[in-house]
Amino acid sequence: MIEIERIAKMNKSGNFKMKIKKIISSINNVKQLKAGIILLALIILLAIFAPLIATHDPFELNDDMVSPPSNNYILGTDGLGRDIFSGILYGARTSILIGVVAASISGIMGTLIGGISGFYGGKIDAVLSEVINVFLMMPTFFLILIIVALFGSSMFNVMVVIGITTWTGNARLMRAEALSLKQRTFVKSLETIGESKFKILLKHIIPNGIFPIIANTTMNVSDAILTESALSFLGLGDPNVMSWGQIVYNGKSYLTNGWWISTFSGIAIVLTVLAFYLIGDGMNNILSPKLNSNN
Amino acid sequence: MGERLCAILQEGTVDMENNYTLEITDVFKHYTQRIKGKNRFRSVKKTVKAVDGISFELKSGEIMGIIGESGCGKSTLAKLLTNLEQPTGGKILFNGVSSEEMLKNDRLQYKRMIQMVFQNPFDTFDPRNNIDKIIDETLKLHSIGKTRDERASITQDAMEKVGLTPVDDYLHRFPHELSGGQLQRISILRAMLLRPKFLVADEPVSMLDVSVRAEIIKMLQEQVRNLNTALVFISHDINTTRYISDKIVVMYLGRIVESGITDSVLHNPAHPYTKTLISNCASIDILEKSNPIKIEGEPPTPIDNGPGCYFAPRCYMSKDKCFKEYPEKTEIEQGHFASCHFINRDNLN
Amino acid sequence: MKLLSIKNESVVYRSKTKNVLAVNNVSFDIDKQDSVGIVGESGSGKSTLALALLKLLPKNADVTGEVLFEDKDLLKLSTDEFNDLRWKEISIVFQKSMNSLSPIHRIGSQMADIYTIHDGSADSDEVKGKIINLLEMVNLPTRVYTMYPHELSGGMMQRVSIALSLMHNPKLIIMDEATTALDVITQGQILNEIAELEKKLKIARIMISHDMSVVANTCRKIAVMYAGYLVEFGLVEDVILNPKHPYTKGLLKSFPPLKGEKGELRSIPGYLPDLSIPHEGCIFKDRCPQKENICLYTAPKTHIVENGRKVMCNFAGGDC
Repeated sequence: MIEIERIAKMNKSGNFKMKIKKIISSINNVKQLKAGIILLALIILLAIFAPLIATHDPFELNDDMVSPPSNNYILGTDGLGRDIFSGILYGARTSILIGVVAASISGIMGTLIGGISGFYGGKIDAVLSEVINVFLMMPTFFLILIIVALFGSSMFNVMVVIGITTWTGNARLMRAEALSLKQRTFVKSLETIGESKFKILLKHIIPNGIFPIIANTTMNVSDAILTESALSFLGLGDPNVMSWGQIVYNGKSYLTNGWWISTFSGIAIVLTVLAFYLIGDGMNNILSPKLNSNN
Repeated sequence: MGERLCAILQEGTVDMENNYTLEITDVFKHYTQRIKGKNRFRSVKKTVKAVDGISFELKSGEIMGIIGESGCGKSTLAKLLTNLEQPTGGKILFNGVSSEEMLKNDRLQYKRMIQMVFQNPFDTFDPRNNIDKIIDETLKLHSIGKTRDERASITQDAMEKVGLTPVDDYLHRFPHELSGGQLQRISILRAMLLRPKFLVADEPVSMLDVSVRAEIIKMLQEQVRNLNTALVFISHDINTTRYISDKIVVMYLGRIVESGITDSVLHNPAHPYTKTLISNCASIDILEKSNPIKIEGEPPTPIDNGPGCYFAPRCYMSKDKCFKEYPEKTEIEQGHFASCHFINRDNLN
Repeated sequence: MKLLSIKNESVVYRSKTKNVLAVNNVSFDIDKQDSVGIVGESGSGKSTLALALLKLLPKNADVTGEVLFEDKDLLKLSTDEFNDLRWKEISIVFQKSMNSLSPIHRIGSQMADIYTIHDGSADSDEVKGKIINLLEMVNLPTRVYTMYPHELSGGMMQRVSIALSLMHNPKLIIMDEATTALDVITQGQILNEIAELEKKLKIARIMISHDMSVVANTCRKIAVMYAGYLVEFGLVEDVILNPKHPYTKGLLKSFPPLKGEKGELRSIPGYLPDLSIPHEGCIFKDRCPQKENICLYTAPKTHIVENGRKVMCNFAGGDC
């Protein structure tokens, strides 16, 4: 059965347009992925066009303080008179930026360390595995707190710190992929052709094993956004930057008389995390049916 | 030694007059493995002697077949020859220069000395690259062709010569879009683009359909003839090995039990294992009455063998001596050797 | 006496994008205690044909035609009636049996489980006795009863599978590439054992293999399949010594001889056509050395030559 399909595939040519069509159709097939991507696209658009859509400058201290949602202030204002709606729009930029950068740092570190560990094996694997274990043991959130307390709470610090404490998941995924890919014939074939081990890792092992990491990274983005929000909520965020966590923090004291401050920013966090989660879950769905179905 | 080394490391076109000899002496590869011992909670360390003292010589232009069943070590031997694994002991010499030395001096030159064609053509190439990229990468790595265009024209030439036309059709395809036969031909083509002096083919046709095997065998023969490459043809299929090989070697549990000119060994087998193997081969020739030699027991693993002949426990004519002493290599006729205590020249077949 | 009569069996795999015609109108008969070998390369439909008999194909496979097993049409039986038949009258041995048993249970208990599925009446001692009997029948030592699948070699696992298939004294066994993954010597042992068992237990066998030599040595009749069609069928001596279909001839020429002159090794040029696209004329036309104009447009009929021989070629009847 499989042979017949291969031969049928042979008679078609694999060109770029068909690849895009395939990707779109696989996205359409998985409902979570579709929903997640649409939601994320919406959020990103709002973030990009924030200057056009926002009604006020988010830092501007208006006269109406703690005023409920109205025609002028769509989602109300906070304790200092800042428009919540504009704050949320600009906050989207911050959250997405932090999320993506932190997750990227985590992804790159995890991929390299896990890949080297799995592919080279032997003593290198033994040492790196212990390193991974050490990082796994650390209570990451407390570590983040300590580092931010020591080095300050700038956005840069926050991004880097989240990145270097969350790479272990990616490392374990990549290590598993590398261990299994190492046994494949094409890897041995590349070795006999003369390709150096490091080049094989970069050009062949990592690209072939990256898919689960990508799925994991999307979830890491949402984790990073949550972590940043948590830091801001605890007052450890960067006060110069408008972020959703900051808004929630600002709204803490007004929960009874200014419920809109924390609520809408909180909803924004939830929706964004949901979007990334759906994407990650959908990607995992694509990965596993490939392994299971008869299609 | 230094001069010889320099001579081999010299760049240049293949000189038909230049003959190369691959000499392997007493090569062995041992692994340690933990196996469940008698006590369920303790595991015992055992040595797996995958290859246990192999010696042979191969010269340019010769085709040597290696036959044997699973566990005999032929695949491990293939990996040792191509440096996918390092031998635990013994020497692998190319024109007198050891493989270790060659690798230390110029790794890529070693790769141009000996190349390999694998059993599974469907997995021989990175599934994410198309054929064009795959071949281009190889040529670039060895600096064959100075520009992308030069490399493209070398590829075009080579593919036309072996009949993979129209070339463009193949270049843009990905491995999953091609058949096993086509992939294996590309695999051989890629190896031969490096003009290796030796080629190891590890079960190159066992995963291909019967009707396609002949093309691959013929391609191997042609390529090897054109460049005077020596070929090591590893297979469990005796008939095909007989067809292509000049000389043949029979392996059992990591050692060579019989070797010689192909028809000499296959039509006048001296070693009881060879005789058993040949008699159990199903053949298309149904008129010929087959009398398969019955053999008891399971195919063993290369652990805890010896001290006597490794085949003794399953041999139909084993005697006491066989379990105590490992048999010496005896010459039966010109170039035909076997390791058995009881070879009687009159008893042949 | 006919045990199994396959009439116009066709199997189509349906999917959203295309329909693949994997088996195309195949008909042949098997007598009691007969042995038929089905040979063909990948994509020939030989496995699909046999798996269809036991309803082991995926849901998207559409099986049509008539398969009469002792006058019962297998394709029209209800699930209950079929379950009664499966394993008791017809059983199957697969290629890599290692994968069909649970790795965390002992062989003996798994075999006993399988036994009681089909026959819940026996008590556990009886069942154990039966199992040990079966193990002896296939030349396995009794200690296999308490071993785990990973502790057995490939040959031993195949023997376990054969024992399982003989459990309820079936009238027909299907062996789907059962010896393909084994070493030459182990394969030889098992083929011998099967031949002996057949004589003793009077079983009919369908042997599916891509290796013609295995079929040539162990079967009475041979069915050659190509791209879902039955291109030639007959007694092994007749077909192998006097092949009539060009594909059969081509296959035979692809086997290099062990003795005698080496001759030229031929391959069959080209590759399998796309079975999801309807074709005109003979399915083998693109690769046939004897093709003529008529083959491009006229689908060949199956001609019945002497001795129950069938050939699907435009030039049969005479000589191809």
